[in-house]
Amino acid sequence: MAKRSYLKLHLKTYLLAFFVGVVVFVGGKYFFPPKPPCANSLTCQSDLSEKIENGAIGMFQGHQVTAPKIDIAFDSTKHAVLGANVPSAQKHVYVDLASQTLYAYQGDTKIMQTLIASGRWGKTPVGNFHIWQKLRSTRMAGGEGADAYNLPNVPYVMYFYHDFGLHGAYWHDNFGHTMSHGCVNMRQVDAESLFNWADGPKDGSLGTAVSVCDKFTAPNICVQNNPINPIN
Amino acid sequence: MTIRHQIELETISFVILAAFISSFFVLRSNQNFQQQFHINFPIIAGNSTQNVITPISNPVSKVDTASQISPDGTKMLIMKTTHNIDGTLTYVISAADGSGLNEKQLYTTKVKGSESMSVPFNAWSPDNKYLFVHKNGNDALVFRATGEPIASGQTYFDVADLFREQNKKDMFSEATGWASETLLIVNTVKADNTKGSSYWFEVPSKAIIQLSSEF
Repeated sequence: MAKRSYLKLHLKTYLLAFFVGVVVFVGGKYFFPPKPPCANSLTCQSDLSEKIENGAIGMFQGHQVTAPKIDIAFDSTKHAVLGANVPSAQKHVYVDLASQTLYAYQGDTKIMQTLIASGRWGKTPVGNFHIWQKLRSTRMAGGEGADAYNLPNVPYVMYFYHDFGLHGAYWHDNFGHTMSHGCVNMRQVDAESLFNWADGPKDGSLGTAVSVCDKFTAPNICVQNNPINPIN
Repeated sequence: MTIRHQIELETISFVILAAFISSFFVLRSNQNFQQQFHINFPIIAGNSTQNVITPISNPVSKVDTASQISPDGTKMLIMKTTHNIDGTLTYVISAADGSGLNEKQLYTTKVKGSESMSVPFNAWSPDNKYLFVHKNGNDALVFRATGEPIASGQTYFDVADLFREQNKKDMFSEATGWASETLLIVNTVKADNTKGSSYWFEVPSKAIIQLSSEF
Protein backbone atom coordinates (compact mmCIF):
# COMPACT_ATOMS: atom_id res chain seq x y z
CA MET A 1 0.00 0.00 0.00
CA ALA A 2 2.82 2.36 0.96
CA LYS A 3 4.64 1.42 -2.26
CA ARG A 4 1.56 2.28 -4.32
CA SER A 5 1.19 5.62 -2.63
CA TYR A 6 4.89 6.26 -3.23
CA LEU A 7 4.51 5.56 -6.98
CA LYS A 8 1.43 7.73 -7.14
CA LEU A 9 3.33 10.64 -5.62
CA HIS A 10 6.15 10.14 -8.13
CA LEU A 11 3.69 10.17 -11.00
CA LYS A 12 2.21 13.40 -9.70
CA THR A 13 5.70 14.86 -9.54
CA TYR A 14 6.40 13.94 -13.18
CA LEU A 15 3.07 15.32 -14.34
CA LEU A 16 3.58 18.55 -12.44
CA ALA A 17 7.08 18.93 -13.91
CA PHE A 18 5.71 18.31 -17.40
CA PHE A 19 2.91 20.79 -16.83
CA VAL A 20 5.32 23.46 -15.60
CA GLY A 21 7.57 22.82 -18.61
CA VAL A 22 4.69 23.32 -21.03
CA VAL A 23 3.51 26.47 -19.24
CA VAL A 24 7.01 27.99 -19.28
CA PHE A 25 7.46 27.19 -22.99
CA VAL A 26 4.10 28.57 -24.05
CA GLY A 27 4.49 31.60 -21.79
CA GLY A 28 8.00 32.21 -23.05
CA LYS A 29 6.90 32.12 -26.68
CA TYR A 30 4.04 34.48 -25.84
CA PHE A 31 5.98 37.03 -23.80
CA PHE A 32 9.28 36.80 -25.70
CA PRO A 33 8.33 36.38 -29.36
CA PRO A 34 11.18 36.37 -31.93
CA LYS A 35 11.87 39.73 -33.50
CA PRO A 36 10.61 39.99 -37.09
CA PRO A 37 13.36 39.90 -39.72
CA CYS A 38 14.36 43.38 -40.80
CA ALA A 39 16.58 44.81 -43.48
CA ASN A 40 16.28 48.27 -41.95
CA SER A 41 16.18 47.78 -38.21
CA LEU A 42 14.62 51.17 -37.42
CA THR A 43 12.14 51.88 -40.19
CA CYS A 44 10.93 48.32 -40.59
CA GLN A 45 9.52 48.47 -37.07
CA SER A 46 8.02 51.91 -37.42
CA ASP A 47 7.03 52.94 -40.91
CA LEU A 48 6.91 51.33 -44.34
CA SER A 49 4.80 54.04 -45.90
CA GLU A 50 5.46 56.26 -48.89
CA LYS A 51 7.50 59.34 -48.03
CA ILE A 52 8.96 62.08 -50.17
CA GLU A 53 11.32 64.36 -48.27
CA ASN A 54 12.93 66.65 -50.82
CA GLY A 55 15.86 68.59 -49.40
CA ALA A 56 16.46 66.11 -46.57
CA ILE A 57 20.04 65.04 -45.90
CA GLY A 58 20.83 61.35 -45.53
CA MET A 59 23.67 59.52 -43.86
CA PHE A 60 25.53 56.39 -44.96
CA GLN A 61 28.78 54.97 -43.58
CA GLY A 62 29.42 58.14 -41.59
CA HIS A 63 29.05 60.41 -44.62
CA GLN A 64 26.29 62.87 -45.39
CA VAL A 65 24.39 62.25 -48.61
CA THR A 66 22.11 64.60 -50.45
CA ALA A 67 18.94 62.78 -51.38
CA PRO A 68 17.78 63.31 -54.95
CA LYS A 69 14.73 65.50 -55.43
CA ILE A 70 11.64 63.56 -56.42
CA ASP A 71 8.99 65.18 -58.56
CA ILE A 72 6.05 62.85 -59.06
CA ALA A 73 4.59 65.05 -61.80
CA PHE A 74 7.74 64.49 -63.85
CA ASP A 75 7.41 60.68 -63.55
CA SER A 76 4.52 60.42 -65.99
CA THR A 77 6.51 62.09 -68.76
CA LYS A 78 9.28 59.49 -68.70
CA HIS A 79 10.14 56.68 -71.07
CA ALA A 80 8.18 53.61 -72.10
CA VAL A 81 7.66 50.67 -69.79
CA LEU A 82 9.96 47.65 -70.07
CA GLY A 83 8.57 44.70 -71.96
CA ALA A 84 5.92 46.75 -73.73
CA ASN A 85 6.76 45.02 -77.01
CA VAL A 86 6.82 41.54 -75.49
CA PRO A 87 3.67 39.38 -75.39
CA SER A 88 1.87 39.61 -72.09
CA ALA A 89 2.98 36.77 -69.85
CA GLN A 90 3.81 35.98 -66.27
CA LYS A 91 6.44 38.28 -64.81
CA HIS A 92 9.27 36.93 -62.70
CA VAL A 93 12.32 38.63 -61.17
CA TYR A 94 15.37 36.52 -60.30
CA VAL A 95 18.19 37.79 -58.11
CA ASP A 96 21.44 35.84 -58.44
CA LEU A 97 23.46 36.45 -55.27
CA ALA A 98 26.55 34.69 -56.64
CA SER A 99 26.97 37.03 -59.60
CA GLN A 100 25.12 39.97 -58.00
CA THR A 101 22.87 40.15 -61.02
CA LEU A 102 19.15 40.71 -61.42
CA TYR A 103 17.15 39.21 -64.29
CA ALA A 104 13.58 40.15 -65.18
CA TYR A 105 11.53 37.77 -67.32
CA GLN A 106 8.21 38.19 -69.01
CA GLY A 107 7.27 34.63 -69.82
CA ASP A 108 10.38 33.15 -71.43
CA THR A 109 11.67 36.51 -72.60
CA LYS A 110 14.43 38.16 -70.63
CA ILE A 111 13.67 41.85 -70.64
CA MET A 112 16.27 43.08 -68.18
CA GLN A 113 19.65 42.08 -66.79
CA THR A 114 21.69 44.32 -64.57
CA LEU A 115 24.13 44.33 -61.66
CA ILE A 116 22.77 44.78 -58.16
CA ALA A 117 24.19 45.07 -54.64
CA SER A 118 22.71 42.67 -52.09
CA GLY A 119 23.27 42.17 -48.38
CA ARG A 120 26.70 42.82 -46.93
CA TRP A 121 25.81 43.89 -43.37
CA GLY A 122 22.69 41.68 -43.27
CA LYS A 123 21.76 38.69 -45.36
CA THR A 124 19.37 38.98 -48.28
CA PRO A 125 16.72 36.29 -47.70
CA VAL A 126 16.89 33.42 -50.18
CA GLY A 127 13.47 32.17 -51.24
CA ASN A 128 10.47 32.70 -53.46
CA PHE A 129 8.34 35.73 -52.82
CA HIS A 130 5.96 38.19 -54.43
CA ILE A 131 6.11 41.96 -54.39
CA TRP A 132 3.69 42.90 -51.63
CA GLN A 133 4.09 46.68 -51.76
CA LYS A 134 5.38 49.24 -54.21
CA LEU A 135 6.43 52.68 -53.00
CA ARG A 136 7.71 55.48 -55.20
CA SER A 137 9.87 56.62 -52.30
CA THR A 138 10.40 56.01 -48.60
CA ARG A 139 12.91 56.49 -45.81
CA MET A 140 15.15 53.61 -44.73
CA ALA A 141 17.11 53.67 -41.50
CA GLY A 142 18.96 51.20 -39.33
CA GLY A 143 22.37 49.89 -38.35
CA GLU A 144 24.40 50.89 -35.34
CA GLY A 145 27.54 52.91 -34.66
CA ALA A 146 29.72 53.42 -37.72
CA ASP A 147 27.29 51.25 -39.67
CA ALA A 148 24.26 53.47 -38.89
CA TYR A 149 22.42 54.87 -41.88
CA ASN A 150 19.37 57.02 -42.42
CA LEU A 151 18.34 57.59 -46.00
CA PRO A 152 15.37 59.68 -47.13
CA ASN A 153 13.86 59.48 -50.63
CA VAL A 154 14.94 55.89 -51.32
CA PRO A 155 13.41 55.56 -54.77
CA TYR A 156 11.37 52.84 -56.49
CA VAL A 157 10.90 50.47 -53.57
CA MET A 158 9.39 47.03 -54.22
CA TYR A 159 9.07 45.12 -50.93
CA PHE A 160 9.03 41.37 -51.43
CA TYR A 161 9.54 39.99 -47.89
CA HIS A 162 8.87 42.04 -44.76
CA ASP A 163 10.94 45.18 -45.40
CA PHE A 164 13.39 43.44 -47.73
CA GLY A 165 12.94 45.09 -51.09
CA LEU A 166 14.30 45.87 -54.50
CA HIS A 167 15.02 49.59 -54.72
CA GLY A 168 17.16 52.30 -56.22
CA ALA A 169 20.29 53.39 -54.34
CA TYR A 170 21.64 56.94 -54.81
CA TRP A 171 24.27 56.83 -52.05
CA HIS A 172 26.76 54.46 -53.65
CA ASP A 173 27.76 53.18 -57.07
CA ASN A 174 29.29 49.81 -56.32
CA PHE A 175 26.91 47.43 -58.01
CA GLY A 176 28.13 43.91 -58.63
CA HIS A 177 29.34 43.78 -55.01
CA THR A 178 27.49 43.28 -51.73
CA MET A 179 26.71 46.69 -50.30
CA SER A 180 23.34 46.62 -48.52
CA HIS A 181 21.79 45.64 -45.20
CA GLY A 182 19.69 42.94 -46.86
CA CYS A 183 17.76 44.75 -49.57
CA VAL A 184 18.58 44.47 -53.24
CA ASN A 185 20.11 47.80 -54.32
CA MET A 186 19.89 48.81 -57.95
CA ARG A 187 20.98 51.82 -59.97
CA GLN A 188 18.18 54.36 -60.00
CA VAL A 189 17.74 54.03 -63.77
CA ASP A 190 17.35 50.26 -63.47
CA ALA A 191 15.09 50.45 -60.41
CA GLU A 192 12.85 52.90 -62.23
CA SER A 193 12.51 50.61 -65.25
CA LEU A 194 11.79 47.60 -63.06
CA PHE A 195 9.35 49.54 -60.87
CA ASN A 196 7.33 50.68 -63.87
CA TRP A 197 7.19 47.12 -65.20
CA ALA A 198 6.64 45.08 -62.04
CA ASP A 199 3.21 44.70 -60.44
CA GLY A 200 2.17 45.03 -56.85
CA PRO A 201 -0.75 43.00 -55.52
CA LYS A 202 -4.00 44.01 -57.20
CA ASP A 203 -7.60 42.77 -57.11
CA GLY A 204 -6.72 39.75 -55.04
CA SER A 205 -3.84 38.66 -57.26
CA LEU A 206 -0.27 38.51 -56.01
CA GLY A 207 2.41 40.94 -57.12
CA THR A 208 5.25 40.04 -59.48
CA ALA A 209 7.17 36.95 -58.36
CA VAL A 210 10.66 37.51 -56.94
CA SER A 211 13.06 34.59 -56.49
CA VAL A 212 16.30 35.18 -54.65
CA CYS A 213 18.77 32.47 -55.66
CA ASP A 214 22.18 31.51 -54.35
CA LYS A 215 22.89 30.82 -57.99
CA PHE A 216 20.68 31.41 -61.01
CA THR A 217 21.15 29.66 -64.35
CA ALA A 218 17.86 30.00 -66.19
CA PRO A 219 14.19 30.56 -65.34
CA ASN A 220 13.16 27.86 -62.87
CA ILE A 221 16.81 26.82 -62.41
CA CYS A 222 17.40 28.77 -59.25
CA VAL A 223 19.66 27.13 -56.68
CA GLN A 224 18.46 27.95 -53.17
CA ASN A 225 20.13 26.67 -50.02
CA ASN A 226 17.76 26.76 -47.04
CA PRO A 227 15.18 28.98 -48.71
CA ILE A 228 12.62 30.67 -46.51
CA ASN A 229 9.65 29.43 -48.51
CA PRO A 230 10.69 26.90 -51.14
CA ILE A 231 8.52 26.17 -54.16
CA ASN A 232 6.59 22.99 -53.43
CA MET B 1 14.41 12.40 6.09
CA THR B 2 10.90 11.04 5.61
CA ILE B 3 9.57 9.75 2.32
CA ARG B 4 7.30 12.76 2.16
CA HIS B 5 10.26 15.13 2.46
CA GLN B 6 12.13 13.18 -0.17
CA ILE B 7 9.23 13.40 -2.62
CA GLU B 8 8.80 17.12 -1.94
CA LEU B 9 12.46 17.63 -2.72
CA GLU B 10 12.18 15.57 -5.91
CA THR B 11 9.08 17.51 -6.97
CA ILE B 12 10.80 20.87 -6.54
CA SER B 13 13.87 19.62 -8.42
CA PHE B 14 11.81 18.30 -11.33
CA VAL B 15 9.78 21.49 -11.59
CA ILE B 16 12.91 23.66 -11.64
CA LEU B 17 14.54 21.36 -14.20
CA ALA B 18 11.44 21.43 -16.40
CA ALA B 19 11.32 25.23 -16.23
CA PHE B 20 14.99 25.46 -17.27
CA ILE B 21 14.59 23.02 -20.14
CA SER B 22 11.52 24.84 -21.45
CA SER B 23 13.27 28.22 -21.24
CA PHE B 24 16.17 26.76 -23.16
CA PHE B 25 13.83 25.61 -25.93
CA VAL B 26 12.18 29.05 -26.09
CA LEU B 27 15.61 30.69 -26.39
CA ARG B 28 16.81 28.15 -28.91
CA SER B 29 13.76 28.38 -31.14
CA ASN B 30 13.98 32.19 -31.16
CA GLN B 31 17.69 32.03 -32.01
CA ASN B 32 17.05 29.65 -34.88
CA PHE B 33 14.51 32.08 -36.24
CA GLN B 34 16.90 35.01 -36.02
CA GLN B 35 19.79 33.13 -37.58
CA GLN B 36 17.91 32.95 -40.84
CA PHE B 37 18.34 36.66 -41.32
CA HIS B 38 21.46 38.01 -39.68
CA ILE B 39 25.08 37.41 -40.47
CA ASN B 40 28.19 39.36 -39.64
CA PHE B 41 30.09 38.66 -42.79
CA PRO B 42 29.45 39.39 -46.44
CA ILE B 43 27.90 36.73 -48.63
CA ILE B 44 30.73 37.04 -51.08
CA ALA B 45 33.99 37.55 -49.26
CA GLY B 46 36.80 39.12 -51.20
CA ASN B 47 35.79 38.07 -54.68
CA SER B 48 38.35 39.97 -56.69
CA THR B 49 37.81 38.13 -59.94
CA GLN B 50 34.10 38.67 -60.26
CA ASN B 51 33.03 39.31 -63.82
CA VAL B 52 31.14 42.49 -64.55
CA ILE B 53 27.98 41.56 -66.39
CA THR B 54 26.73 44.10 -68.83
CA PRO B 55 23.14 45.27 -68.54
CA ILE B 56 21.00 44.93 -71.60
CA SER B 57 19.87 48.52 -71.55
CA ASN B 58 23.40 50.00 -71.45
CA PRO B 59 25.79 47.65 -73.15
CA VAL B 60 29.51 48.10 -72.56
CA SER B 61 31.64 46.10 -74.90
CA LYS B 62 35.02 46.31 -76.60
CA VAL B 63 33.92 48.18 -79.62
CA ASP B 64 35.02 51.52 -81.04
CA THR B 65 32.55 53.36 -78.87
CA ALA B 66 31.79 52.29 -75.32
CA SER B 67 29.51 54.15 -72.97
CA GLN B 68 28.14 54.00 -69.46
CA ILE B 69 25.17 55.87 -68.13
CA SER B 70 25.30 57.37 -64.64
CA PRO B 71 23.23 55.62 -61.94
CA ASP B 72 20.58 58.34 -62.06
CA GLY B 73 20.47 58.33 -65.85
CA THR B 74 21.34 62.01 -66.29
CA LYS B 75 24.93 61.65 -67.54
CA MET B 76 26.81 59.42 -69.92
CA LEU B 77 30.48 58.55 -70.14
CA ILE B 78 31.61 57.90 -73.70
CA MET B 79 34.92 56.37 -74.72
CA LYS B 80 35.85 56.36 -78.40
CA THR B 81 38.73 54.16 -79.52
CA THR B 82 40.45 54.78 -82.81
CA HIS B 83 42.64 52.00 -84.21
CA ASN B 84 45.42 53.89 -85.98
CA ILE B 85 47.26 52.56 -89.03
CA ASP B 86 50.55 52.48 -87.10
CA GLY B 87 49.06 50.04 -84.60
CA THR B 88 48.55 52.58 -81.87
CA LEU B 89 45.24 53.39 -80.24
CA THR B 90 43.74 56.79 -79.61
CA TYR B 91 41.27 57.03 -76.76
CA VAL B 92 38.91 59.96 -76.40
CA ILE B 93 36.95 60.17 -73.16
CA SER B 94 33.92 62.43 -73.00
CA ALA B 95 30.98 63.17 -70.72
CA ALA B 96 27.56 63.90 -72.12
CA ASP B 97 24.03 64.18 -70.84
CA GLY B 98 21.92 61.08 -70.36
CA SER B 99 20.80 60.93 -73.97
CA GLY B 100 24.39 61.18 -75.25
CA LEU B 101 24.05 64.79 -76.39
CA ASN B 102 26.13 67.81 -75.37
CA GLU B 103 29.33 65.81 -75.35
CA LYS B 104 32.27 67.42 -73.57
CA GLN B 105 35.73 66.00 -74.10
CA LEU B 106 37.62 65.20 -70.90
CA TYR B 107 40.78 63.50 -72.06
CA THR B 108 42.59 62.22 -75.14
CA THR B 109 45.56 59.90 -75.23
CA LYS B 110 47.45 57.85 -77.79
CA VAL B 111 48.86 54.58 -76.53
CA LYS B 112 50.61 51.46 -77.83
CA GLY B 113 48.36 48.75 -79.25
CA SER B 114 49.21 46.56 -76.28
CA GLU B 115 47.70 49.04 -73.86
CA SER B 116 43.99 49.32 -73.24
CA MET B 117 41.36 51.40 -71.52
CA SER B 118 37.81 50.43 -70.65
CA VAL B 119 34.67 51.85 -69.11
CA PRO B 120 33.52 50.15 -65.88
CA PHE B 121 29.89 49.61 -64.89
CA ASN B 122 30.33 51.74 -61.75
CA ALA B 123 32.23 54.55 -63.49
CA TRP B 124 30.23 57.46 -62.09
CA SER B 125 30.37 58.77 -58.55
CA PRO B 126 26.86 58.82 -57.03
CA ASP B 127 26.61 62.62 -57.43
CA ASN B 128 28.02 62.53 -60.99
CA LYS B 129 30.92 64.82 -60.07
CA TYR B 130 33.67 62.27 -60.72
CA LEU B 131 34.17 59.29 -62.95
CA PHE B 132 36.86 56.71 -63.45
CA VAL B 133 38.04 54.44 -66.25
CA HIS B 134 40.13 51.28 -66.16
CA LYS B 135 43.59 51.29 -67.71
CA ASN B 136 45.43 48.11 -68.68
CA GLY B 137 43.31 46.11 -66.26
CA ASN B 138 45.48 47.18 -63.31
CA ASP B 139 45.02 50.91 -63.02
CA ALA B 140 42.24 53.44 -62.68
CA LEU B 141 42.17 57.06 -63.79
CA VAL B 142 39.81 59.40 -61.97
CA PHE B 143 38.49 62.52 -63.70
CA ARG B 144 36.26 65.42 -62.84
CA ALA B 145 33.10 65.08 -64.93
CA THR B 146 33.14 68.78 -65.81
CA GLY B 147 36.46 68.45 -67.64
CA GLU B 148 38.22 70.75 -65.16
CA PRO B 149 41.58 69.62 -63.75
CA ILE B 150 41.13 67.32 -60.77
CA ALA B 151 44.00 69.01 -59.00
CA SER B 152 46.40 71.79 -59.80
CA GLY B 153 48.13 70.84 -63.03
CA GLN B 154 46.53 67.38 -63.14
CA THR B 155 43.84 66.25 -65.53
CA TYR B 156 43.28 63.03 -63.61
CA PHE B 157 44.43 60.98 -60.65
CA ASP B 158 46.33 57.82 -61.51
CA VAL B 159 45.20 55.66 -58.59
CA ALA B 160 47.85 52.94 -59.04
CA ASP B 161 50.59 55.58 -59.02
CA LEU B 162 49.19 57.15 -55.86
CA PHE B 163 49.12 53.74 -54.20
CA ARG B 164 52.74 53.19 -55.12
CA GLU B 165 53.62 56.59 -53.65
CA GLN B 166 51.59 56.30 -50.44
CA ASN B 167 51.15 52.63 -49.66
CA LYS B 168 54.20 50.42 -49.62
CA LYS B 169 52.41 47.32 -48.36
CA ASP B 170 49.73 46.61 -50.98
CA MET B 171 49.61 47.29 -54.71
CA PHE B 172 46.58 48.53 -56.62
CA SER B 173 44.60 45.72 -58.20
CA GLU B 174 41.21 47.11 -59.20
CA ALA B 175 38.69 49.81 -58.42
CA THR B 176 35.24 48.27 -57.93
CA GLY B 177 33.10 51.40 -57.64
CA TRP B 178 32.10 54.24 -55.34
CA ALA B 179 31.23 53.79 -51.67
CA SER B 180 30.04 57.38 -51.52
CA GLU B 181 30.27 60.61 -53.48
CA THR B 182 34.05 60.85 -53.02
CA LEU B 183 35.22 57.39 -51.93
CA LEU B 184 36.46 54.99 -54.56
CA ILE B 185 36.67 51.35 -53.40
CA VAL B 186 40.02 49.82 -54.29
CA ASN B 187 41.18 46.21 -54.05
CA THR B 188 44.86 45.40 -53.80
CA VAL B 189 47.34 42.56 -54.08
CA LYS B 190 50.29 41.86 -51.82
CA ALA B 191 53.86 41.48 -53.00
CA ASP B 192 53.42 37.69 -53.10
CA ASN B 193 50.45 38.17 -55.43
CA THR B 194 47.86 37.12 -52.84
CA LYS B 195 44.84 39.28 -52.19
CA GLY B 196 45.54 42.37 -50.12
CA SER B 197 43.22 44.61 -48.14
CA SER B 198 40.49 46.79 -49.60
CA TYR B 199 40.79 50.55 -49.34
CA TRP B 200 38.90 53.76 -49.84
CA PHE B 201 40.59 56.25 -52.10
CA GLU B 202 39.30 59.69 -51.12
CA VAL B 203 39.25 61.74 -54.29
CA PRO B 204 39.71 65.38 -53.36
CA SER B 205 42.34 64.72 -50.69
CA LYS B 206 43.98 61.64 -52.30
CA ALA B 207 43.82 59.94 -48.88
CA ILE B 208 44.05 56.15 -48.80
CA ILE B 209 42.04 54.54 -46.02
CA GLN B 210 42.33 50.81 -45.25
CA LEU B 211 39.05 48.95 -44.70
CA SER B 212 38.36 46.19 -42.22
CA SER B 213 36.33 44.17 -44.72
CA GLU B 214 37.18 43.10 -48.24
CA PHE B 215 35.29 43.83 -51.44
